[in-house]
Amino acid sequence: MGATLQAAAALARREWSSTLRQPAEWLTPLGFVVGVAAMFPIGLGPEPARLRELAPGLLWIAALLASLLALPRLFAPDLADGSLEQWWLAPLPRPLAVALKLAVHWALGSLPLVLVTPLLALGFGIENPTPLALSLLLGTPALALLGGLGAALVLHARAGAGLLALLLLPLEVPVLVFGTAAAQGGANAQTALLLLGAWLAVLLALAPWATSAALSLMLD
Amino acid sequence: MSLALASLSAPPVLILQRVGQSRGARPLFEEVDLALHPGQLLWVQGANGSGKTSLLRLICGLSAPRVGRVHVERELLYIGHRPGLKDVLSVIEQLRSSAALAGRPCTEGQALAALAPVGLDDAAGLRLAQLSEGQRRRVALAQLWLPRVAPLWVLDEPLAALDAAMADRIAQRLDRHADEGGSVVFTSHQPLPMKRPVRSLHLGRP
Amino acid sequence: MTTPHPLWRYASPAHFLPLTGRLQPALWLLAALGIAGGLTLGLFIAPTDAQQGEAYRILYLHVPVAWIAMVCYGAMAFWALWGLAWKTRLAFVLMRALAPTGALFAVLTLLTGSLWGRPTWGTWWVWDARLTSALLLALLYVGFIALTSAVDAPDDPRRGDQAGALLALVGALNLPVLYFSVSWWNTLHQGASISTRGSAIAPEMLAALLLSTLGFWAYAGAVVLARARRLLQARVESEARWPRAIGSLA
Repeated sequence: MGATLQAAAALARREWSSTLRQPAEWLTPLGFVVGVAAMFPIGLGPEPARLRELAPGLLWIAALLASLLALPRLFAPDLADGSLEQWWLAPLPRPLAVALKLAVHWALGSLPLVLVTPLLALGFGIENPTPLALSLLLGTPALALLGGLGAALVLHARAGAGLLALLLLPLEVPVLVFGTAAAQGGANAQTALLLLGAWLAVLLALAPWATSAALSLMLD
Repeated sequence: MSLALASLSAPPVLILQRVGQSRGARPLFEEVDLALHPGQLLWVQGANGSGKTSLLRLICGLSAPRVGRVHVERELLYIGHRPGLKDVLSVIEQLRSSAALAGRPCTEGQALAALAPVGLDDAAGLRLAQLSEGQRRRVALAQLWLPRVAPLWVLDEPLAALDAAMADRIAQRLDRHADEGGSVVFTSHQPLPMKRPVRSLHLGRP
Repeated sequence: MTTPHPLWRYASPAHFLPLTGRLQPALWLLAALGIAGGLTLGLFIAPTDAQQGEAYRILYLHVPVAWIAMVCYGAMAFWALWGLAWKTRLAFVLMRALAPTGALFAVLTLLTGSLWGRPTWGTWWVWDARLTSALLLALLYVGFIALTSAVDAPDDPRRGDQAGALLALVGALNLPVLYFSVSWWNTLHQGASISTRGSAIAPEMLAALLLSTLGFWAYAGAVVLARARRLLQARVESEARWPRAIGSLA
């Protein structure tokens, strides 16, 4: 038991240090969301009423695309330098190892988005960004769980972020549907948030296990 | 001499039964039968591409053999070709991290003590990115000098990028491990300057 | 050791290839008859629909094609699971053989759906639940084909098989949630949708629908089996190319 906890702590600490010490890893999603958000008024016209109406959906799409950015480098460096094999052999249940890795990746990459995007919403004329923030709080972990699975599947592929996006976009549609509905606020927001939470719970239970199954096939 | 005889009567730490492996459609090796006892050292040889690394990965459980069975009776420590070194970590962080992931966490003092035989104790705070290739490999190998090590060691090219003095130290450490009842399976392109007898396994076309 | 079930024989190329070789001409004939018969009945003989006029006739293409697109994915997921569980070459070959046909039928679903909607809505496309789901299904197929081809190494289809199989399974498990979320989304935004109910079905219509469905099924089966045979043969040949290796203990 002690060895398992120590190994889990070591994995989490290693991931945290690795990511934190490479500022590009966690600054990029932030910069990306702000950049994309700025593109929308430029592309669609600055008319306030229309922007306010479209903002929840647009910001959600920006967050979804930002979540795809870091995925190619989620497992590939670990495979290349042998770390993947190290924590594969660790006295740690593999789905737990995957979940820990995704948790650190989410905390450093997506949690800032959850905090910053509501500020952007204010810039789009939304008075109460709380529904948006809540929907992202539940939605970005779901995106991270699906993203981890996608990243594991393309480990040996000779293609990059484009292939990953192609694979993940259809799979992420439910998250987008529930998330944007929850972000709009209003009558359906409650139901949407519940559905999003339920889907997140299902993904939490299944995705780490499926991802570790994929990784063990890729390691073979 | 008596120690060698005694070790043979102890149950084997590693058994390979009629193991065969292929990479895709291409067969690598077949009908490998092997029983490794405590105190024994096994040198896996073969040309490049003959499957040495694949055999070691089979032993560790990272891949499944196409045919045959692998039994590992004791805990093992695997230091592979690419031993999981992260550039942004410091030497001491890397060593403690690898030890904890191998199931044998160590204190900072123990880690520093293990860095001394590989000559890196004064570089403990440096990041791996600042070290040379040989020094980086030594960080990985420093695990062998930690106080609590696994009984079975699986080492892929332990001498790669090391100078002669360091190679001697590694060989001495392996000898000592075998004296204490441990076992080692390793690959290497050059012979290790060991004192104890070493068994050989040749892979690939004769 | 228990004797394997006699049907397992067909997993080996030596049995699969001759069996499917004999089946193929029958399937092609069935396809030709079914499609020709069904379309003749449907396009020329069946009466005009009370609600939708002549335009509804595209349904004789749209319905079977949409159905096959969905079932192909289910079949892909089935063989993916089989291949991962029992590791037979044939299961993965069948899985891969289904993908291009499924993709084609998914795209045909989109085209026929659009053609059907044009007279009704006045536009070439509408983002309703069914068409949007069909588009996502087409994307799932394209993703599968892209992944397997990106992962494949020359002479070693193993990795591509495994990655593709996992993707197919994940997609299949996601599909119910996908359909649900898209239809829920559609009700939220009160979009337009294609309605199939309305007038009663004349017997000629039913006959035409059945015939063309049968015909398209036979076509899909023939094409998939032909592709499966080709893939299996290619694998057998590539495996035969490597001489055996020997290991010895000194």
